[in-house]
Amino acid sequence: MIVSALLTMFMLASLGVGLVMRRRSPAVSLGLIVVSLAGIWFSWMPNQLTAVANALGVGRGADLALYLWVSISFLALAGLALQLRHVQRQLTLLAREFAISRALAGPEESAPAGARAMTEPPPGDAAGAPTADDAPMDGVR
Amino acid sequence: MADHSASGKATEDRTHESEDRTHESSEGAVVVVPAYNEARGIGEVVARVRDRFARVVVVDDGSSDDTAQIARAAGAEVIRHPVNLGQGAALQTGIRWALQTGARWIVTFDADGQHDPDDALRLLRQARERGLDVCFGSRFLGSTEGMPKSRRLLLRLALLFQRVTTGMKLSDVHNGLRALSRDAAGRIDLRQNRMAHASELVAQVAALGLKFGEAPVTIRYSEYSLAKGQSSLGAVQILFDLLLARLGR
Repeated sequence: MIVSALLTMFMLASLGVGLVMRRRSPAVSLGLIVVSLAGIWFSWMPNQLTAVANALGVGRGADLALYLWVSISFLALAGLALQLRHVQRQLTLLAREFAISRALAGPEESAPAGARAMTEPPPGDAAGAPTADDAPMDGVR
Repeated sequence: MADHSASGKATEDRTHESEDRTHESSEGAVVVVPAYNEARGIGEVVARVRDRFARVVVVDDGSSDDTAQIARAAGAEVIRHPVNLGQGAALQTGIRWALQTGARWIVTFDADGQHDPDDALRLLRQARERGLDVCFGSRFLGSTEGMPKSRRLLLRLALLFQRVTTGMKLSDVHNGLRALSRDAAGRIDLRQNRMAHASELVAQVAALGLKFGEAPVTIRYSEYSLAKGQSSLGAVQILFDLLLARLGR
């Protein structure tokens, strides 16, 4: 009873996700809706799921659900990996574009030694100042 | 070549002299050096390459150290990736930059000091003389210094894999030293961000039907290059990346 109610809640949530995703990816949305509805049905009628499992040569309905779950997870993972690769590709192109236009825009990005050295403060100043300021503070604490 | 005991001024003069002489043979060539956290060695590498080539591009692949500043101070053009993408991505960025800024030849060169700028010149000369689109450096035609036995075995295996998958009869794999003509570089598009780009490049040369050859180079394995470079386990990652690419297309 309690498990059935819990499962129903989860399935309703995934049904909601499926409905929201309808526009963006119809196939995934349809899959989610069907699986959710079937899930709700079978969580209240476990014997029917066992009957289906038996027909397919699996002992218990719960085992069938587990096998299906594993298969679906694998597919989802593969899809995710492909999507990740796509995002990585986009990130690469973006970073490349950014790097090149930054180099084209700022002469200091690609200028040889001399031009840049003039604009930078001597290393001693940059390294020295903050530590001198920080030291007394640390002492107080 | 360099007499390091010479005073700063004298060294500079001599460098310019040698630039005039050797830059003639390296004219129109841009050396692309992908670098990630190479602050320790990049200055010397850039300086050595600059002795032989007028233009060196260091692609700083999102380093967290001073790689970019040191490379720039040593006379390199520096392109900086805002985030770390991998050597393949850095190489492709450098190649695009070189093409965009008028390179006629592109030489790829590793940042860890294992390559010799004179070898780079030789690759370039051979590519020109033999009318090649791509000239690969080969440590097995040339020589290696301090290569661990395990690395030799691994490279042999990788070579076999390369021959089977691309049909290319090369004597070396994953050697970072190569010369590409402008035309070849423009047609090659490296999508493998990580280390598998070296196999990808060979595969693309085969697929595009580019005219390629090899020239001997010396690889100097130092403690630094071995520590900075790929562990042998990287081969597994490369195989995985190549496999994934096949599935995706």
